[in-house]
Amino acid sequence: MRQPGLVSLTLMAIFSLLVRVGAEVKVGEKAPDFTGIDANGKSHTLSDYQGKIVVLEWLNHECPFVQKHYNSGHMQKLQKDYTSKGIIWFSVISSAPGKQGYCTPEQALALTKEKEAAPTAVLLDPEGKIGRLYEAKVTPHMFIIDQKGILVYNGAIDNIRSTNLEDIPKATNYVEQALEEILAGKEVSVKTSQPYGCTVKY
Amino acid sequence: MILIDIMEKLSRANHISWRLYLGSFFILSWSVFFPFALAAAAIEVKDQNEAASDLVRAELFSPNAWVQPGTCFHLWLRLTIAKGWHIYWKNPGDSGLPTEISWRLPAGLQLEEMLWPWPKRILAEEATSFGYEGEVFFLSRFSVSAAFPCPSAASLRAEINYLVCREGCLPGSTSVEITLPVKSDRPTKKEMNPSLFDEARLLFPEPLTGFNTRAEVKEEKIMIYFYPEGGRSLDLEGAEFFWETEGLADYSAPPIWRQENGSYLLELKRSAASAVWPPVIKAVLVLKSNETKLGQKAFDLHIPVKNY
Repeated sequence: MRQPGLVSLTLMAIFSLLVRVGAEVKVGEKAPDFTGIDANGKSHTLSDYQGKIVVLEWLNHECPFVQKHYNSGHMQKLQKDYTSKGIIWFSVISSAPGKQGYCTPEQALALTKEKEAAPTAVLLDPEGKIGRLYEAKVTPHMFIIDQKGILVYNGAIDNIRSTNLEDIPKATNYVEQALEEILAGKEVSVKTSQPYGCTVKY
Repeated sequence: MILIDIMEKLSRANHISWRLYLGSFFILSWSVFFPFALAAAAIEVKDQNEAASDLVRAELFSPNAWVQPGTCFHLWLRLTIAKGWHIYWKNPGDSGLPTEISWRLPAGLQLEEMLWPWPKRILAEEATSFGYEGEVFFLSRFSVSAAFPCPSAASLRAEINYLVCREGCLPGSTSVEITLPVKSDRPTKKEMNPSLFDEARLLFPEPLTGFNTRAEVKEEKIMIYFYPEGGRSLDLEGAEFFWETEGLADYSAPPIWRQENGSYLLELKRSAASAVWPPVIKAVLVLKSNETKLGQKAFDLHIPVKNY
């Protein structure tokens, strides 16, 4: 058998270093810690919320997939229902300045009010640090971290990939399902799913 | 002021107050210049203000002058996408929505097959998608029942639902209809621009011959083996692999090709989302080729999964 040449071995080694190692964000492992500033200028560090369930929702109000969940009032209802049960809900905006979805703090606060959204806070991540840390691909991309700081869900909001409001009641909402399971002390049944949406505008 | 002098002279000549002239002059100049000012502001429209239906245009072309009962015929569907925008492939990838093409056919006509050209990779940070830009040609084959009444006419309608994106995305739909005469004689070919469709034909994948394929899933990796029959070889330079079966792979991870003992191994990364493995994976492989003027050729792969 021909031995691979030294050159090709070196190239393969360099290549494998360049390959993104997704080990940072793995369901079943500790969720990567971060500090984010919200639209009110307040700082939030994930590890400070240990003991609480935390939901991360990647957001861009101009994306038709996000609009499906907000125009139907469904996302706001989830936020209200679960924050009232003590869950911490962060909407994260990782759009870079000048790109679609980017918000100044004032704009973010105004949009939250206009949409009657009820997250615990809207984290402004224009440098994309939190987005890249979690490898957030699209809006909406959802993550759930349990009380022990373990990532227990990474994926889509629900199981019907579309921009139609009518699909919401027909779909299985993975976030709602997972939160109910965690609150009941059960294991999350659907830990991952293929997220759908518009790309995050880093 | 000169303007007022002119106004005065004109108004005296016409026994009308100069103030009326001046007023009219200003109103006239504003109504000429104001729309330009508005237009200039409007040119900087955000994606949402453009209508999705203006961004994708559909046309149907028939290579035959009519259709004959008891035979098959082809239709070309061309989608023209506005510059800078794209729509998605059957598997849109990490973002977007698959383009849906459906047909409204009269009784006695049936869609037998529809060919999609191989897609382009659309790269965004953290997300890789598959789609099309510019002009896209789809080739469909229809069968006509032998009992189809003739002479008559058959109307076919293609309905296309899509998500068209630039920086932002817009869901949209469009449709196009064609009416073809139905006659009992063998149809004559129409005079059509041959190069238009000849080039489009080169973009459709063909079945891969001369290789047995097999996929194995090992932890984070998906290994796809290509075993040549009869000493065939693959030119791997610039090879592109497009997943048609969804939800199995991380589309952003670069594929790794290896050659071992004359057979080939393609190593891909599993997606973070666990998925149910099908018995067969469908994919499109694009390879360098000196057989076509495009320099590339696409192949349809149906790969049995070993540990299924």
